[in-house]
Amino acid sequence: MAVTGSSKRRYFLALGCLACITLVVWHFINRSKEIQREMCNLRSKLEPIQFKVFSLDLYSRDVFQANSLLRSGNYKEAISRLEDAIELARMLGIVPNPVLKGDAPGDDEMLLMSLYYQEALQGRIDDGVQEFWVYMVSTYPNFSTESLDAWSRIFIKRYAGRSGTHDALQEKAESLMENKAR
Amino acid sequence: MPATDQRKAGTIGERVRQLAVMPGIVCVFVWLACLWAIVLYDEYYPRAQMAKLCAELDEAWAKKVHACQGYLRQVRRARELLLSGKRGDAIVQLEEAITLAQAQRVIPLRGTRAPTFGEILLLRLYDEEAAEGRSLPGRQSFWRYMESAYPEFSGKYSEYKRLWDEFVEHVSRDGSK
Repeated sequence: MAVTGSSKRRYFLALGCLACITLVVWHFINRSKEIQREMCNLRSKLEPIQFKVFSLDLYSRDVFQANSLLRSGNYKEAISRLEDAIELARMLGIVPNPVLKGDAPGDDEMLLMSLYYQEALQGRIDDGVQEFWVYMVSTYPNFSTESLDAWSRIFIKRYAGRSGTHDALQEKAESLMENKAR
Repeated sequence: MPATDQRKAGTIGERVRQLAVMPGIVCVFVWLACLWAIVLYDEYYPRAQMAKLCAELDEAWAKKVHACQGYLRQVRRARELLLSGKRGDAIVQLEEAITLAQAQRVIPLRGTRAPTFGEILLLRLYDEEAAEGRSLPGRQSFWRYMESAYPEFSGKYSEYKRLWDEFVEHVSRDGSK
């Protein structure tokens, strides 16, 4: 009788263990599916944000480098760096600025256009200016040859009080404007 | 029953009883191990998945940036060729760059009115070649691509060219003052 009773007990205990392991496996499978689903949802939400944040970070670093080059008077290199930064930002979808809804160019686009403009006024039509011009005209309907002077002045005014930033450009542009006025 | 037999039976009974108790202890341990596994799994699996997701997103972004930078480098090389007077080579370089970028899904740009600078440049070079009486074989198909990818831009391309000429005139007039 003792043998039969203990066998039954062992049988039930083994069954209990098996049930427990099954429960754990079921939990793992279930939880894994749930987490995968959550990760898919998270990915779709996180991907555009992460792309935007990383792209903005890269863009601001490129623009900062271009500004440094500009301050050191290296116009050609600054133009080239800014051009690449803007084109890359366009390809990554952060330029034209979605906040401005394509109504007005961003500061960096305006800076590049002003640099091109100043160079063109001195008789140097840079390589790449035509493509950038076509981009500006096609993207911003209010942008035109007639408005470029005004745009340029607004831009210079905007940066007039900012210490260190775009000083070189500002000086150059102001001297050109003075020459033109004379 | 002899005494030795009785002792033997007692020992067997004892052993059986011990064996009956053992699975109980094993079962308790199994339950505890399972609970521990569940707790560990719930704690670490989401974290591991999150880290994997972040790594995948980083990789996807880096891959896209790498493709874009590759395209920009090729466009810059085409410009250098153009500056050194090799227009034909520049066109070939641009065609290759654009085809590769299309395959990498870097272009056409979605949600913008204007194409990339490389595409605008190729369009200009095709036009210059055509103006000199050399119509290149890729021109037609490229124009068709531009029309489908950037319909707004293609519709106004001649107007943009006119505005560019006005701009050149404006700067040459103002610059000479």
